[in-house]
Amino acid sequence: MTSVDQLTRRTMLTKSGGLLSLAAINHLGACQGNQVSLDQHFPATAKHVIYLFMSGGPSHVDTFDPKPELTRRNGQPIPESYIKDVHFAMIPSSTKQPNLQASPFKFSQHGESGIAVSELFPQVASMADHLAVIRSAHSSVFNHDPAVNLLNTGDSRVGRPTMGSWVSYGLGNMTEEMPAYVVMTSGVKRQPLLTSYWSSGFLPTEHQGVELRNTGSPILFLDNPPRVTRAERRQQLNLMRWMNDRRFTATADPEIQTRIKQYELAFQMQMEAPRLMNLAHETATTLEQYGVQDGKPSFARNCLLARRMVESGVRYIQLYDMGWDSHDSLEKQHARQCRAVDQPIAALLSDLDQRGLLAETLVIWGGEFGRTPVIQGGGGNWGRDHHPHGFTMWMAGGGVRGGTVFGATDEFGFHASEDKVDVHDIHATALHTLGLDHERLVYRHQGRDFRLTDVSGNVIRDILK
Amino acid sequence: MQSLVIRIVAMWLVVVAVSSIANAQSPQVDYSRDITPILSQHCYACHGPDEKARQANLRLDDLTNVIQPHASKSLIRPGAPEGSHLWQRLIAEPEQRMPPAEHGARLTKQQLTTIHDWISQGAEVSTHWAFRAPRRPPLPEVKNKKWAKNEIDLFILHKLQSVRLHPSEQAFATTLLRRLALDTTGLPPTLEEQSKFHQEERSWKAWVDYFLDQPAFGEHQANDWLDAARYADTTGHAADKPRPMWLFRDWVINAINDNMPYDQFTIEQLAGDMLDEPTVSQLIATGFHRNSMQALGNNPRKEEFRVKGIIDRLETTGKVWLGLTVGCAECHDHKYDPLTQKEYYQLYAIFNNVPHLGERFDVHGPRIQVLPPATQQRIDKLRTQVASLESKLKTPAANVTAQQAIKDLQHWLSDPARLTALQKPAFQLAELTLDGSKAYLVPKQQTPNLTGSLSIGMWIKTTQTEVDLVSKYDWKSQRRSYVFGIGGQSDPGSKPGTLYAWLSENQHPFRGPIIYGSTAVNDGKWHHIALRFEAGKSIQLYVDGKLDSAAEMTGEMISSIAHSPLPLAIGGGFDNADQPNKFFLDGQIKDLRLFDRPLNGIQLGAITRQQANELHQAIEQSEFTREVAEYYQQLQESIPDELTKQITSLRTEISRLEKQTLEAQVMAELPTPRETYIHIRGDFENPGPAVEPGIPAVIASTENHQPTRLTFARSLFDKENALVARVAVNRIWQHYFGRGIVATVDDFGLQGEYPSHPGLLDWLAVEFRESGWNVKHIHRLILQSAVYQQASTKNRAAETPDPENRWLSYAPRIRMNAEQIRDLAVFASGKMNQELGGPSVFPEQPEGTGQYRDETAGQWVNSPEPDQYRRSLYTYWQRMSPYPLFILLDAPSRERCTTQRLKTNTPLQALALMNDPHLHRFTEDIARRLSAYSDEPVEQVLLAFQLILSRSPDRQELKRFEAYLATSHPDRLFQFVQILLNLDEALTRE
Repeated sequence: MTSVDQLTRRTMLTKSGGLLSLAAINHLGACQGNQVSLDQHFPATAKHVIYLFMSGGPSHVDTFDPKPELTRRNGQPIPESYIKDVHFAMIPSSTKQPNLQASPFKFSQHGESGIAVSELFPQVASMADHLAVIRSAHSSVFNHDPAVNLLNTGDSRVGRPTMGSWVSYGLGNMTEEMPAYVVMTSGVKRQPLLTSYWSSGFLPTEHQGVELRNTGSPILFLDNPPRVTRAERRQQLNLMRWMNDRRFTATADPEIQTRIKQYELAFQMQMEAPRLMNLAHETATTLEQYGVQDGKPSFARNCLLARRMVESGVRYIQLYDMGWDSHDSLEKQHARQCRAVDQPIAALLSDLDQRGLLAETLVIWGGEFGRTPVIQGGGGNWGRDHHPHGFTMWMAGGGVRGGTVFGATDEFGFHASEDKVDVHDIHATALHTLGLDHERLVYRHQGRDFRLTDVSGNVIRDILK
Repeated sequence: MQSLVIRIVAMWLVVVAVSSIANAQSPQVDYSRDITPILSQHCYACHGPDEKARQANLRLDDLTNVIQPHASKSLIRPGAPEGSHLWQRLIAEPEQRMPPAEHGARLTKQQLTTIHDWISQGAEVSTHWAFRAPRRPPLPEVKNKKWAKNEIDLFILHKLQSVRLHPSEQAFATTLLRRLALDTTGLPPTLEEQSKFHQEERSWKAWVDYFLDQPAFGEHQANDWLDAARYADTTGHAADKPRPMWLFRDWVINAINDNMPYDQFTIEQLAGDMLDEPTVSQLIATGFHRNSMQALGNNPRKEEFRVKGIIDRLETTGKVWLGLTVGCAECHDHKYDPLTQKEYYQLYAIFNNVPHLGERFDVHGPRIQVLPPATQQRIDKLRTQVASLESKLKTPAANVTAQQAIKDLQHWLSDPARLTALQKPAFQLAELTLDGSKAYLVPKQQTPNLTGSLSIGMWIKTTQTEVDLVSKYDWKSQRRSYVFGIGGQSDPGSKPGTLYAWLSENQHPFRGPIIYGSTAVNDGKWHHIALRFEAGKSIQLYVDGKLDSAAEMTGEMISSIAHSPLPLAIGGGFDNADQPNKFFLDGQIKDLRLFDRPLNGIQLGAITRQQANELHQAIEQSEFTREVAEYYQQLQESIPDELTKQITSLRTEISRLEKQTLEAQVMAELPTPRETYIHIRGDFENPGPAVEPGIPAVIASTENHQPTRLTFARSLFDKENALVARVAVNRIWQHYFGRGIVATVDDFGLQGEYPSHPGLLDWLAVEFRESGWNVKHIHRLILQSAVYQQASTKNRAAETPDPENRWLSYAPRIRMNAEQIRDLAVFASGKMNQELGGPSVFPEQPEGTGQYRDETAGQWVNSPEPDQYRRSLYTYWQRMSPYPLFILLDAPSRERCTTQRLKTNTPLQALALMNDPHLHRFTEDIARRLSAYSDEPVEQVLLAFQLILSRSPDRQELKRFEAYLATSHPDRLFQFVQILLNLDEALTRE
């Protein structure tokens, strides 16, 4: 098979969207020596992922995990049994038994399913019947950076590929005019967002997340220099192609054909990316629905862009919203954060739904951990510390059974206690909706087959249709 | 019953199928090459080295008890696969079959055939090839000997002939020169080199030597090593703070250029600090293992990150020197390779003794202060000047006549202010009266910066037992510099009412002299007191002009005094405060003088009115008494002449330069080693049994009772070490062929790939060792081989037998690495700044990139113009936000050790190479260079091809680009240069 054939095959594979990417096939073929299956591991219920990452750690007991007992025992020291072997990130160890802190926000039940959501998320609450709320997520990593790594790569250390890269590697893309894995950011900066959060780790860099920028051109180096018009670029590419073809004739190196192809793709991306980012053709109603204001960078704009990415065939879209790390002034800060994301998230879900895209798009919401049910600081500026021992995430769309609550934390919302969900379970479940078996999506590195879920991970079947 | 029949039939069918394949071909099976990869991948997890995971008490990594020729139920019966229980289990029905379904796929038909053949052929077992010390193999016999240029080619040719392939022709001269230049120096050949090469002035051998001797060789080769050493300019993790490491980078470049033998190169990096009296350079070399990332800031669990640092050091050492994935044994015995968890922690113990200091944003290992080489050279030069000036210094008063001396004295004594003016004190104060409630604060602009020799003199009148008179010193807030006063702040050892002084070289902790006087000065009468400190030599106290010879000095002598940010207080001191708040003077001070040179009591004005009168009288009578002469001499000494002034100014410059030290991160050993425990399941908070330092058996067979980092480093170069030489030559091979003889360059273990040319690998490894670990020798051998010089045109004949070109029937085309691609443009601009080494530079990057870095870590500020033209290797390496162009072109972030870069081919690379504004700078330069060279498009095309592609255009190319340039479009040359820089040919080393 010549390289040109290979390329056509690749195009076919990626266009069809339902097959393993050529990269993965080649890899599996080369390393396992087994016959390669061109099918996904099983039928997919989702083709895209939108991961809404609340960076800094949203408080579960103030949003999706109501705790009447916490309210009842507000101000009392937490019983010692709960905090045996628990390290707090910021609450000093001299505070032997920090006090329980009730949520100041009211919870009420929503939708036919009657899922309890606090008043911080009135609009997301109206979509309750689409949500599968996981109240028993847990980990042991209580610092931001390692915890974000864990949520993204399944390991708190740097160096592993992020979930978006695994998905790009496993499934390829459905468009050639945009990257398979894009990242957008918004919010109030507290912790830095590091490029390692969308790194491809040991997977080839083509699977790395591409950050869409809030200022300047949306993709780094997308714009021609001022001295080259689009027509002139076309002319340049034609000459390059002529030269490269001659080289190919001389050397027969298929890599040259690939390069020609990549330059053509880049040329198309220069058209497609700005078109996608341009909201001029969205109706005023849509803009209003999301709460987008004159194209200003915001979480709302990113949500609308995420829908447009899904429409254009982008595989994995991750939105980071910063500013959730409320060590102090939690009431004020969480109210501000939720105000900025509540309406856009609800708009995204209902917009996707109306366009028939929610059925094929898995939406994930969560932070790198929750926040302590015990108080940090005091007075009017009280806050909550990092809390990995039990927190809430939710999923919607893409084969997820809406109106579900899965798992539970203890009476105070401290430890995950029922149907505990490990971070690897989240990953296994997400891959499952995409038709990928987390135990079979492997990449050989340093003499062993690596997985996103390493040696663990169980699909949470109860939240799937 | 029926099912049993079916089973037997089914089994029989498999056996027949397998046997028939086996009988048809039956190639000689090699245990190490063919069998261990199958067993390790499919069986070792439950039947391997990991004792805890082992099932049925069966291990297949050690077959000594498994192979029994006669036992009827033997697992393996040599020559009789069907009589071997192991074989039966491999082909059994699903519920009996190994490996069990839940443990992964069943063996392929090919794998089964191999095992069947192996047992049929006698089931011979050998140690894994990479764990046997390499022996020099005999050179293979080949037919076409003419093609071979050296021994390497015999091995290559032998393999090619065995698969019925022929090597390719030699590449064109233009291709060869560009290949040689790019592979050695990372840069394309200059126009001059191109012209000389084509005039055939030198032999190929001479050209090889020429390029190996270029300073750029060290720079380009360093790039690979810096990836492996995870060299970067920041600490990594979220805080990602700057951490100066470039001295280490420069050490690597220089060591490579000096062709430092690989054993020395290794030992200095792993354990330079433990050599006898290590040089600064050897200490800097140990920066290798200080490149590990370090978390800083809020609440990182310090021990956790210290442990991570050691794990990183083991992982890196394993990959770089041993080609072993030792990290697997962090949590359990290695699943594939003979490395137990205990051995892992014994190795860990060797690396577990590095001090780990500081808190929060200043967690660090050992550091030293080092002068950059350029500064050191300048200092040496100044010192020579000082020495020559000092030799000219006259002894004071030697040639002065009594008349002249008396004349001078009269002149000076008639107006004391004049004398002071001549002496030029660093600070002076005529008179001060205080009531014990506050101090006098010297205004900032008048505060002298006294960090070398120092003298303080004054008249005082007080009855206090404890007072600070001159202070820039607060130990409680760790801001120390110098303090002079009475009583010593009640510190243990101090004496109330007598003088004291503390001088410290560091603000914290204290290091310097402590002096306590023996004479009380608080009797309420006027006394002259003085402190004299001669940096690095002596410290003395004077009372009323006389040396207090009974004063007690403790602490240590220092050659400089710390600069503290505190203000200079007179008549008061500091007690954990920014302003003087304690030890206030209740009394009077007169004629206070501070000097930046050592002066004694008399020189500082300790002369009473009575003494002065007596002297006056003597002088007026022109009596040059002994007393007068002495006084004269001392005064004269305190007044610097021209020569002394010159010397002082040179000394000042030296001490200014000496302060321009850089911090170098180094390794060190704790005096008492830390205890090391096995971390149960890799959890450092879950310690298991204690272990002693030890070297795993797979690494060194030599007995070594008290292994240290140093003995470990040395053991790597034992003659019997199986891995080190092979791993090293393999990486050099990878550099030139894009792929190692062992493709998995950092894994020579059982899961690593079998060498494409095992004999060649061993031959090179032995050659390397026997050459005295001469690195350039191996480079030279490869560069002079015929296989290196082949054309890179795909060999059609190889398509089926060797689609991956493992047998090298043609040269690989290799896309250049990120740094080379940028360097090509910089070089072609004609403006490359070829300065070697120095602090990292900041080439332009688009605004908004790197925006998510922690602001406290600093900002990316573009370097000034000349530094925009430095080689890419000097780019500031910010781990958490690496230079975008490089990352897009597959450079690693250098968070961890990388021994192999992937080479991808993506649309984002195309966008970056066409549109990165930083590259446009060079594109414009090249365009300007072309138009300055000629107005003729033909000439411009010719030059551009040579600059970028190192060749001339052919007729068609010339015609087409001539037509392209035949326009008055002002940007056409720019666009043309972009085309050439983006060609596959430009980005590829052919």
